[in-house]
Order: sequence, then C-alpha cells, then structure tokens
Amino acid sequence: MSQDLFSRFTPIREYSSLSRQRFFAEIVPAQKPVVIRNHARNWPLVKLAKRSCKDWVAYVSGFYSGKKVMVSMAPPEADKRFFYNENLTGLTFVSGEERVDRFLLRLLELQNRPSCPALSMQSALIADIFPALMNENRDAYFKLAKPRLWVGNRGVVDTHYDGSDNLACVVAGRRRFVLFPPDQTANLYPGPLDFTPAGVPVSLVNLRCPDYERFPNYKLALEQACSAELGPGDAIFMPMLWWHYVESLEWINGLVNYWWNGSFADDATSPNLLDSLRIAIFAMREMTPRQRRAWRCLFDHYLFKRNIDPASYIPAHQHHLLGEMSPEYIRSVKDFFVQKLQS
Amino acid sequence: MTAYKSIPHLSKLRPERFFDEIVPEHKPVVITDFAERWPIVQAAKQGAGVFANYLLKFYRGKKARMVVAPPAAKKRFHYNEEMTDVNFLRGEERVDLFLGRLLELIDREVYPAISMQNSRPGEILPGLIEDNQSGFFTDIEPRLWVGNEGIVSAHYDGSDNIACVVAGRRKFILFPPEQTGNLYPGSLNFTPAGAPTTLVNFAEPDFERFPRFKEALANAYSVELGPGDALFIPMLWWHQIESLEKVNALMNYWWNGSSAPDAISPSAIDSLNLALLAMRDLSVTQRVAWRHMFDHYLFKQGIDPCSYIPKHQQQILGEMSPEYIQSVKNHFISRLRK
Repeated sequence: MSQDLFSRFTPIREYSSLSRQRFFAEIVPAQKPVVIRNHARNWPLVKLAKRSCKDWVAYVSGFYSGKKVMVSMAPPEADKRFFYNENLTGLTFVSGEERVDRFLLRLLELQNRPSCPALSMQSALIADIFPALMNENRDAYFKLAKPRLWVGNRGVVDTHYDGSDNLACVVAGRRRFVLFPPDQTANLYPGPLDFTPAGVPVSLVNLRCPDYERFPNYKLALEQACSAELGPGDAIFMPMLWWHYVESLEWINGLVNYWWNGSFADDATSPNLLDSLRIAIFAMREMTPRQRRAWRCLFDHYLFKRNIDPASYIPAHQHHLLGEMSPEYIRSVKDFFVQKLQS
Repeated sequence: MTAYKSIPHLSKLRPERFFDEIVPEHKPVVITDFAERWPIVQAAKQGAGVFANYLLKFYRGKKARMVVAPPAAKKRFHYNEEMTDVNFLRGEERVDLFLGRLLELIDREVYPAISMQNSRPGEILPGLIEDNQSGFFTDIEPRLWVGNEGIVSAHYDGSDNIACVVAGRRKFILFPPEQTGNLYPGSLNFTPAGAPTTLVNFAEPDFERFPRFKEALANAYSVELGPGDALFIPMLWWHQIESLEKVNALMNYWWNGSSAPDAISPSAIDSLNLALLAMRDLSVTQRVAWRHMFDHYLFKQGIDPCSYIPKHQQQILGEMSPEYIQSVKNHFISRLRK
C-alpha cells in the first residue's frame, strides 16, 4: 500500500553529474528541486556505508570529539513519526543529550528488532562532533557552508519547509523524499507557528494515512507532489520553502546536509523571515478579511514584487528599504522599531 | 478625457447602517447630507469672508502647521523634480494671518498654493467641533484642512476615513488597493506627507515612464463634492484630492487602523518595512515562495488556519492576552537588537 502511494508521485528531475558551476548558476536560481545521483560516490563515508552498518559506525566514531548531541526518541506507538501528539498538546517524542558513540551503538543494537522506538540525531553540526570527518569527505559544491549530520533508524519527519536552500546527501541507508511546491502551502494545512515539532511549521496531514475528511484540499496538494528515493551518495536540492516529507527506510540511515541562503546564511537577517511573517500577523491581528486583502496589495507591490519592481522607477537615492542597505542603515531601522515596540 | 467610474451617493444615512453595512464592504460611498446643517457649512455658503469670520470666532491665538508651494509647483504638493526633497515649505503660522492671506490671494493672478493641513480644531479653534457635531462620531476629533487651489497626489491612509467638504469644492480621484502596482507608488521611507505617494503627475501623466498608469485610470473612481458632502474612503484606497476654489475647507475623521486610539504598534506598514528588511537578500522567486506563507497565515486567502488548528495552539494566530502580547513584543525586541 505504502509503495503504491509513493509510486504515484511525479519523479524529481535527476542528474547523474552536475558541476558546481552549473548547480549555482542554473539550478539554485531556478528554485526547483533536483536529484543528483552519486554526488558523493567518492566519499569514504559513502563507500563504507555500502559495505556494512558496522563499518560505517566504526568509521565515523573514529572522528568523535566526545561532545554530546541532542537525540530524539519516539516510542513504537508513534509509528515512527516525530510529530505532535493526538491533541496537539505536546509531541510524540522526547529529546535529550547523549554521547554520539553510545547513540550509534544503540542503533546497531536495535537492528532487526520486531518493535523498536524511532531514534534520531538531527542536524548536528559535524564540526562539533566529528571535527575532521569532512577533511576526507569533501563536498564538490560547498567550501564554507557548515555541514550537518542526521543519523537514525526508521523514522519520519513530517512535511515541513526550511527557511533556506538545502542540499541533502544520503551517506548511509535509504531515504524517501516527497516534496510540494510553495504554492501548495494552504493545501497542506500547515500547523501552529509558535509551537512546532522542530522549529518550523509542519503540515498537520499524515502523509501515509491522510484524513481527507478533515483535510479535503490535501488532494490538490497531492497532484503537485514529487518524490525520490535516495541511496548512499545520492543528493537532493530542496529550494527554500519547498515543503518536504522525509522518511528514512533502513536500520541505520545517515544524511549530510548543507543549508545556505535565507535563515542559515552567515549574514542571516534578524528578525528572520518567519519572524517577519509573525510581526505582520501581530500587527494586523484586528483587521477584517477585506482590510487584509487591501494590505496584501501593498505587500504584493513592495515586498513580493508582483507587478513592477519599485526600485526600477524610484531613483536610487530614495530606495531606503527597497534597495541596498548599509550596516549602519540596517542598525538604525532596527533601533527605530525597537523603540516602537517599547512604546 | 478619462471616463471615471462613479461612486454611489447616499443620503439620510443612519450611522448604524454606515458602520454595520457600508464600512465592512470596504468600498467608497458619498454621503450627500453629512453636514448640511453645520454652521461652518452655512457660513461657507455665504462666502469666503463670512467663512473666515466664522472660524475666527473660535480663534485663541495658537499657531498651526501650514504648507506653501510656490507657483512653479503648479499647486501640486509633491516631491521636487530630482526627488531629493519636497517642492513645498512647511512652517507654523497664526490662523488669523493665514486666513487673511488666503482672502488676499483671491484676486491675484499668480500665487502660491497655501494650505493648513491636518490641524486639530480642538487645539487651534476650541469650540468649533462642539458647534459642528456629527452623529457618526462622538469620540473622534476631526482634522481640519483649509487652503486655496491645491493638489495632494494620490496616496493611501492606514485608516478608514470620512472626508467632509465644509467650504469650496473638492475633486477626489480614487483607486482600489488592487491598483497599487499601476500607480507607481514612491518610497515608503521618504514621503511628502507621511504616506507613500504615486509618482505619476495626473495633470500630465508621463505614459512612457508609467505605462501601467493607463490600467489604473481605467479602474479609477471620481467625484466632486461641495459644502456638506462627505466621502467615505476605505483604508488603503488610493486617493488624490484636488481643492478647486480660492477658499476650500475639509473636516475629516480617521478611525480604525493606524489612527485608532488603541492603534496597534507595530502597525501594518511597520510590519511591511520589517519584512522588507528581513527579505532584503531574497531573489524574486524566493519572495514569491514566501508570499504563499503570507497568503495562508496572514492574508487568509484560502482556509483560515484557525479553522483547523485547535484553539490551544493558535497563539499568535488567535486571541491574545495582554501578557501574551507583551511576551511577543519582547521576543521581537530581542530579535531586533541582534
């Protein structure tokens, strides 16, 4: 049944090799997902994973700094989901700090158990836990972005988006991705902004078992979904704000990912993008639907540039927030709004 | 000539019907007898001198804010040619001297446009409001605008507005919010009078620079009003206002939105400015992606998120307690300090 479900989705465009130059000059600006097969085929990290789980664990453990990381655990009843509980009063999983070597041994131990919890170490900075690992596993695209490591057994991260562009490379096990374009946001019934399983809003629809009565428009989202299954060495580019469901399929799965642009850029803006939405929701909290629609016209023009770019017809010396901003100007704008918020 | 759309005219309108039925529609209407009994309107109908004397009855000597545009500005209070500044001067002046000057200019061939804008009658002409009461607003202080021929270029207000002509004649040209892009609105951060203003000169539109303005004109509404007539201009409707006589006056009421006594800070326009700041490095494609998030959670273009997110997890999307509001503000302050 589940296999049927995933075979229905449109496959994601694939490349068997893609140069760094082409990736940044063509793929990233187009903001459409692509799969790059065998992107990291030469990494020892990938080669060892293909040999055996044990060899892979031994290999990465050799780099271990001794630092603890946050790991999450969802009991068998959670059906592998790291999600909200039934009533949205809490989460299906617990998180705590753990040594990485112990965590990896636990994963080996849980192999082949008929019933076991879903364990997951999410978005750990590799520089913290395995400082020298990437010296011999160099990414062809990224020199400066900080790689992160995700390791776990079978588990599901429900449909969510990231506030940055994302290149995710499977280094062990297999992972299934289902992606929805940003224009499907409403049809995914995205949940609370302030209480989220992992920092970003997540679709309330259970992708493997959708409740169409509660979420009828999800059918429309399904028509736009695309999907891919990745093995060791395969990478996927997920553009900012593309909703994605990620399911890891083996007893031990590993993923290295790079976030860049947007909220993970080195010069990431504060307030960030989601904050700017929250501020607008806060500011317009008493507006009627028609008033909101009117404000949308202003946002469409100045912010989303739906018509003509305001900077194209306003002379540069009057661009202010519409153009290039100096650090001093940015500081002065922030100070101005701090004062407003304090009044 | 432009064929403007007409605005419905209503008379004998009860305030309840206005607030319950007209305002929620978010469309302009003319209320023809809004102020027909006001003494200020009666005085204006008897001539400029009588009108000036009527106002001076209330005058106690306080100065008010004035603007003066030289004849070269062609009555348009706007940016200067290079957009480095505005084309008019601002200052404070005694109201009696201003009114005297206004009467004096009536017979001149070449003269500046002068205007007392957005003044608070409660301060400068105490007793005037009490003498001219509106059944529509009991606790909102109107603003008074007096001047000779002049044009305030199309701009929007962040509040609902009833503008009532009390002397002279005024021509209004209105555009619905959907025409924003076709009006080439100028800078958000440097404006002639506080609100973003169209860069198009309606008297001589430069269609080569502003080709989309034709589309805006095809969707424009216009009306000319005399003493006692009022116009409801909904929040964010773009409006140009041209005063046509040698002596014109307008009283207006702003309510809701940014002019409400309990106006929310930050305001909607503040939040647009902050979003521009946060998204400054995003490409247009990425901005469009974010637009879907704004459309869903903020502009509620489809299903209201509160319809499927349980109440106890609505937080910023739902009803907020004063304590929660304060905690949200504190969070934003900490983000802005970084």
